[in-house]
Amino acid sequence: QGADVALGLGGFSPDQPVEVTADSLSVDQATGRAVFNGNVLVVQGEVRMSAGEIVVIYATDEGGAPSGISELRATGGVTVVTPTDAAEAREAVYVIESGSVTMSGDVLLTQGQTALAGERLVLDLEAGSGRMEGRVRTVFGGGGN
Amino acid sequence: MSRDDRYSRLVLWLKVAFPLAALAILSTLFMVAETLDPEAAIPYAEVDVEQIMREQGVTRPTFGGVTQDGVQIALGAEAVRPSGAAYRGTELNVTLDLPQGGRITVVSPEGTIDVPGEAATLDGGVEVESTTGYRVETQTLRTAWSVATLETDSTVTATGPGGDIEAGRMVLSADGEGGGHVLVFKDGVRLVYRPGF
Repeated sequence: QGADVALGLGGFSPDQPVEVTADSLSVDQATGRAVFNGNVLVVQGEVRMSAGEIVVIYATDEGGAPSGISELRATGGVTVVTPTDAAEAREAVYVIESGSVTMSGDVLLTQGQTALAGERLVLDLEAGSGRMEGRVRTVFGGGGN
Repeated sequence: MSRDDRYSRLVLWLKVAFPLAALAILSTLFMVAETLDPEAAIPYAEVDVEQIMREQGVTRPTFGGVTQDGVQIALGAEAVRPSGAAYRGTELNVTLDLPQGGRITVVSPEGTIDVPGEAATLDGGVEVESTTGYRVETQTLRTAWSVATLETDSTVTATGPGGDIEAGRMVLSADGEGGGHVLVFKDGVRLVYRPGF
C-alpha cells in the first residue's frame, strides 16, 4: 500500500542547470569515480538536496567516454526540499535525466502540518508528484522536522 | 682482301684515337669541376657562445623517476638556468603515470626546480590534464617526486565530464580505494552541470 503525494513544485524541468557545492570533490584517477563529500548541496531549479556524500554516476556516450551526469547517489542522511515540502531519508538517488528522486530508509515527508513516514518515497519532480511506499504512516501535528 | 685491310686499318686508327679521346676527356674534367669552397662545407651553429658560457644553462633537461608510491614521474623543461640553489626553467612539463592506470600531465610557462629537494614549483599559469577527462587551470602548483605530489597554491577552475568546476585548491593524494590515486578538489568546490548541452 502506498500514498500519493503532491509536491508544491511548478515549472520544474530536468534541463535546468544543476549546481553541486561541497567541501571537496575527489576523483579516482583509475576509475574516474567522482565523489563529493562534506555538506554536499545540490540545487536544480527550486529543488535542493543536501547530503553527507554524493557519488556522481556519469552517462557514457557510444564511445564509452563519460558525457554528462546521469545520476547522483546521495548517502549519509539526505534531505530534499521543495518550496512547500521537505523529505528526509537515509539515502536517495537523483536521476537527472528523468528528474526523479528515489529516497529510501526511514523516509519522512513533511508538508505543512501533516507528515508522512514510510520506507520508500519516489518523487517525479517534473510532474510535481510523489508516491510513498512501505509501512506508510501519517503523522499529524508537525512531525518534528 | 680489301675488306680485311679496311677492317684492320680501322682497328689501327681506333687504337690511336680512343686513348687520345680518353686523355682529352680526363684533362677537361678538372676544368669543368665547380670550385669547392671549404669554408661552406662545415655549417657552424649560429649560437652565441659567450651567452652559453655566461649562463651555464641546460637545454631541454629532464628529471624523473619512480616515487615511493609507485608513480612514474617525469619533468622536462625547454631551458633551465641556475638561480640560487635551485634552477629556473621555462616551458615546464610534468607527466605522472599512476600505478593503477591513468596519467596526469601538467604544463606551465615557467617554474623553479629544486633538484636536491626533489620538488618543483610551476607558475605563470599552470594547466593540468588527466585521462579521467579533467582539464584544470590554476596560477601556481607545487609538485614533488619523492612522494608523488601535486598541490595548487591557488584556486582552480576546471572542466570535467560532469561540468565546470571551481575549487579552493586541488591536491593529488594516494588514498583512493585500494591505495589508488585521487585528484581532490578541496577547500570548497562548486560544480555546475548543464544537462542537454
